[in-house]
Amino acid sequence: MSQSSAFEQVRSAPIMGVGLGIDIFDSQPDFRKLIKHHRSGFDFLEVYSRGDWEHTAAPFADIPDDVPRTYHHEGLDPVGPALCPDGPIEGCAKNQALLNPPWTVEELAVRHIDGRYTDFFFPAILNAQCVKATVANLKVLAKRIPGPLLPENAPYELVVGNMHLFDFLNEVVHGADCGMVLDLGHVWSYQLCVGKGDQPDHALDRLDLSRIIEVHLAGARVEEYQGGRIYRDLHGAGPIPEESLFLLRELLPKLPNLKAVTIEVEDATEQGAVKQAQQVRKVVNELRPEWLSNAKGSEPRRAAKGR
Amino acid sequence: MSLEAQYRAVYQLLYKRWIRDAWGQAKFERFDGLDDAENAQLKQVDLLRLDNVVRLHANDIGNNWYAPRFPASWTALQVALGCNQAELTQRLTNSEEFELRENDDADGRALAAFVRKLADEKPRSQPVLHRAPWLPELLRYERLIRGHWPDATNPRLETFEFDVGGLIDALLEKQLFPVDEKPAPLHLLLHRDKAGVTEIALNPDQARVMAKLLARKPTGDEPPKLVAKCRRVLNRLKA
Repeated sequence: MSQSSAFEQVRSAPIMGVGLGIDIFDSQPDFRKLIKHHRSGFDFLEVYSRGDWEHTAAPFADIPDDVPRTYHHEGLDPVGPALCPDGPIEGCAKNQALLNPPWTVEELAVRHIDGRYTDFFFPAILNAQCVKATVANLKVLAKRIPGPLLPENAPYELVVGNMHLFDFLNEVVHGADCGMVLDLGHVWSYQLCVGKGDQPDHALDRLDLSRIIEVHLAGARVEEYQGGRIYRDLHGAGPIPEESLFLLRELLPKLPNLKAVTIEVEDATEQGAVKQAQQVRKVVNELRPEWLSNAKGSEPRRAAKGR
Repeated sequence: MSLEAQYRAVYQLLYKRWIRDAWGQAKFERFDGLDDAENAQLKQVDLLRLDNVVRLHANDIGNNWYAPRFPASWTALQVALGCNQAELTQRLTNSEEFELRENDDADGRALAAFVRKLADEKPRSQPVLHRAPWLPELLRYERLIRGHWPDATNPRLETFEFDVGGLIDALLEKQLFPVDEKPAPLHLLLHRDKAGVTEIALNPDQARVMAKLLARKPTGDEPPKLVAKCRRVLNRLKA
């Protein structure tokens, strides 16, 4: 009996709809309040644990079974020269077992270099060696983590390597035969690094759009200096850049396997989080109303609206 | 050819100013472990952009790691060294002591080693921290009250060479930088539980008796009232 690939598994997953990316350890937004008071504002939650697995059982248990969820892990360092230690892998598997998500998201970045913690995710070095290491790491991870893993393009403030980001992503997802999460703010962050900040969709036709299972949007700030601009992720603590929304409009009609659109809202107020979800939902509804109406998590929202 | 060496080079460019500056000034040609092609990729990094990214992250490290955990020491260090937060962070990350950290240096061990080294340095016949000889003690106090203890002894008696409470009040409440501060030993009984760390100030006599009680040494030669009082304090703490 042949086992389906990670890509096939996520391709057959249900459409999740428009969801909110929350940090289970944040007091703002408090996901419990979002569920209790704003359930009609989102279809699903993307649950982020900061890579923790020792203190997650209790907060996970506060997510009712009828709230669809995906899971965002951290710390597997899939683009590193070697596989991460066993702890984060076993932790990821443990959190998956507790949440039972259709897939798990992990940044294409490293949090440790030579075992030393960095103050941010350092994104993949864009070259053939890193592709090779990443594919090897993702293949091993696919064997050790029960549910499918979706790598996500990380934010770039500085690019190292001679490959284009989209070529790198294509080679990784084809090599590991997996889907991916495309973070639109992170795409723009890359364009800002390579002098294409005024064309957020530059060379987007190089990317294999059929591999995109989930799209991320988030608030951000852009730092200007003499000679360029630097994208800084703020998640819920800032507005979603117009460039990210432009990319969403450009891409939405072209993503045959899209299952989820997530707005990462860490640090937002509950009202602010829902407002950003409404902003994005409006765009999705204009461009792919049918897709949205088929979302797994949309029933409670429809019911709430009906009431 | 090694991806590991490439990441290591990136780490050095981000955190080690002396390496970044030397690279920018072409004082060395190649990072260890890189071949020509890998080295060429690194040479394409925009140095002006790199400097700006480093400055942004220096402020992130200050704002997210140190300012919330050790606010008085972090503020005092900037005044004592005559620099802003980004500069202070870059001096710290540039140091060997920064490599002692565990993850995001939540327990402040790397910062403490950095401060200790500054206190011991004597360029131009004066210690770098001559304006703030109390800084190592202030940081030791801030680490202790956050629960970062050198061992499991609990409760514990700590003696500080300076009035660290007064220093914190001056730095954080009055926004003053204490100068000409004279040593004034401060004895604190510290107790740690799930709710955090409780501290009780003791006078020298109380501290002497408390030390004996904690070490389970005889107290027969001490005033009975004082011993009784210290016992009550200990029992209240443990309760």
